[in-house]
Amino acid sequence: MKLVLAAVLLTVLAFFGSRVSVIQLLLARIERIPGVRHLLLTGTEFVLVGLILGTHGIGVLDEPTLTGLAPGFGLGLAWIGLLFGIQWDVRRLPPATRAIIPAALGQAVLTGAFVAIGTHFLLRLYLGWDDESSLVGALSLGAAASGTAGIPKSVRAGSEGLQRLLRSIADVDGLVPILTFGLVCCLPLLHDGDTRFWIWFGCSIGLGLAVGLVVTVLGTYRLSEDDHLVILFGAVLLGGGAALQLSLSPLLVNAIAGFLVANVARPRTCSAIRRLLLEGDRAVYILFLLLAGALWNPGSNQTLGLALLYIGVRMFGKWLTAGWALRKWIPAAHVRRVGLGLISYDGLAVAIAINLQLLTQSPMADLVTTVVLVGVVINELLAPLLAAAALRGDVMSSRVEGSA
Amino acid sequence: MKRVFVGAILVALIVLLDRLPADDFPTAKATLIAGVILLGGHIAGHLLSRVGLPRITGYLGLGILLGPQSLAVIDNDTASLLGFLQELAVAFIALAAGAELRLEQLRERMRDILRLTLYMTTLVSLSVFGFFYFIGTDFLPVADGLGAAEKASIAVLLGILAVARSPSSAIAVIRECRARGQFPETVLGVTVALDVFSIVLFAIGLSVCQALVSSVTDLSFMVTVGGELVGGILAGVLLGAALAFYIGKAPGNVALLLLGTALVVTHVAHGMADYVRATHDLPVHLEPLLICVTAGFTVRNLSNRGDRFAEAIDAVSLPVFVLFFCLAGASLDLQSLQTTWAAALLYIVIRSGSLFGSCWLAARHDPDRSWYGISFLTQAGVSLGLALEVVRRFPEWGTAFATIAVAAISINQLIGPIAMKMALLRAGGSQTRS
Repeated sequence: MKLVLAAVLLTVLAFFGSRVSVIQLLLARIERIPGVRHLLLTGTEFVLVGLILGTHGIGVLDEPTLTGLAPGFGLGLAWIGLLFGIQWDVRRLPPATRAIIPAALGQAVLTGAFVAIGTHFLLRLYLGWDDESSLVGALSLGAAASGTAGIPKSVRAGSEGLQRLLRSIADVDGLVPILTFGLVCCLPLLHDGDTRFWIWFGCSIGLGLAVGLVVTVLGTYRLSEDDHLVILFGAVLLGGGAALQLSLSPLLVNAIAGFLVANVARPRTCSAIRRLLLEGDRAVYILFLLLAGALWNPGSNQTLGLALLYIGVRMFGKWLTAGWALRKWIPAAHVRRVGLGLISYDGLAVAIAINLQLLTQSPMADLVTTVVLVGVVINELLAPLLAAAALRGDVMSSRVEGSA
Repeated sequence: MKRVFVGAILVALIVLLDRLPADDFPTAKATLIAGVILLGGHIAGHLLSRVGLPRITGYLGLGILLGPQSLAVIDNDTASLLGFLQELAVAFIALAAGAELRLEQLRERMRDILRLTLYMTTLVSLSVFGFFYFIGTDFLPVADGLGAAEKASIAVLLGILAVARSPSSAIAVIRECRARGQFPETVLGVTVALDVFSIVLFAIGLSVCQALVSSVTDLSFMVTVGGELVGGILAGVLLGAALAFYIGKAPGNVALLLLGTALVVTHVAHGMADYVRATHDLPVHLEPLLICVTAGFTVRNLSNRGDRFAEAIDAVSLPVFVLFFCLAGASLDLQSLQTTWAAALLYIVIRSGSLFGSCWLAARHDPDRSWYGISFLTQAGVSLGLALEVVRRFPEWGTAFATIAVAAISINQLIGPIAMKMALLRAGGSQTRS
């Protein structure tokens, strides 16, 4: 009964949360404060609602209930993965987006590496963790740190071209966290028995291709809207469930499926599925924030200190690497502080934390969740201010403005 | 051919996943199976529709194939984990059935609906009762060693059970054929009316049987059922009004709201029943099916949000149907047929014959009168619920009774949709776009 009550409560909250106007209406007064406004627009307050509902709050979403809700997690993770993958239609990528791919991926890889290496040493030296746990934790945190959400819409500074450039970077750099975390899930230490990394990596790719192939082949028929919905839900549940059963990443498996659908399936099928995915995207994100909040173990001052350090390292990493990458690959974009415009977190960071919790319910997964969630809340408060600061120095040439 | 290829991919995936070293993660398996059901159901439905059979026969067939009695891909643990989806689906389909009942059209056909309902209730229940009371108990393996009162009780309850229909199957076939017109509207109206009637009749029948078997008159069950019916209708009207108000204020995401509503109604009804039983020792249970049919009817007919409501139901009904009928197929107890096939076959023959006869008589001025009888063969959820109530009330012979009932309902569930689709396609008062 409690499981059903929790499912109903989450459905109702996700439903209302996906209707931003209701939240804005309720919190009209406090949302005038710039950081808080951005935080409310992104729905980050639902992390706190989840915390209140979780074990450390009133206990509606306790551990057994959350375990029972695992199919919901699988569905959400697979949904996000498929949506990301299906946007990668290589044939239709605009030239401007193609041009920024190296810079976008470069800054994400470097930020992720920067954070992962730093965190690995911190976890080993500061918390005394063994090699395996600190490796998985550090790589997961690195993956979560590498992605970026688009520049907040509330920020009006800078040229439209630069704003668009930053949003395009955010659209592209999600590839790094999905791939990195997908590879982390293939590490033998996350699987029972004597298995090798390449076997699990092959399974991830094979599963993704199989799910993508199913959608592509079924999409060759002339299907109604209802049929597309059945195929979409079927593919998402199949990919998510199979990945979770093998302790792989539903994000990666379904991103591969989405990539295949985007590039091989009929345009009609592809656009129908993309539209259906986008319709549910916001509700899935809110659901994730609630679940992540419920899984959040606020922990000790030590963990909080680590989280603050992580935020600092990520910001520094973004500022440094984004500036370098843009100078290297898009020399026309002379913006010194452009990296500060890439501070906002996307839903992938929260998805990675939840995925890790599903795979290993351990102190390491708790720590990663806490660090990511503290990072999300603080970053969402600071992101508009930092983005405005980044865009004030915009001296972007008209050439870039035109191409971006 | 391409769909067969996809089916082969799904089979290969299931076999492969079974062989790989997987973690003990039952909910992950349930998620995976739900995906297989949706994709496999889509394929099976389309393949059968190409040979003129209704899609839901494909969903049921897939469920039987994947179920615990065949390939056991859907084992008992998985079926229990996915059970909430079935409950949600029943309530959602009831909302859809309510939304299909349009008052202005029902008014035009009220006399036909009432006449068909009355004829069928009387003739079908009396025929089945008469046959099993006077002749058929010899064919019942359970009847050996039972007294006259018990044999009469079995005949009474089989007679009443024969009246129950399956609104979920009816709505699924009507939607699949996109049937409009006098014939499908009358069929749906009668199906819903008969389902409500069968619950009332069953309550009366149980009280009569209790009196027959124990020589003690117990009318409390009838009073309880009366209260449940009135309570269910009132709750449905209130829910419908609330839904109409909300849809008027916030028209977006109505489909998600309706799925959530179906889940809430089912579990609040069950939760309240548990609470009343625990605190007051009363077996009061508001029927989620009745609440949702009434709510759907209220939004459709007593508010001006009916079209938006029906559109939202249309948008998500297919995945709900696929999941529901596949899981229903998986839960069919076909093994019970091995011991009770003769009695089940007799029950089906008598029931079908009396259905044709009663419809022929009731709709004698209607040119489609030949097609009404075969539109009412399907039985499902409510019939099974009633059979299980007999097990609870009469433990000595209830299980044997339920075995026959379940066997007959399983066959009716399989042949009913095929017959109904044929009737919808052939009847003159039905316009279809299958």
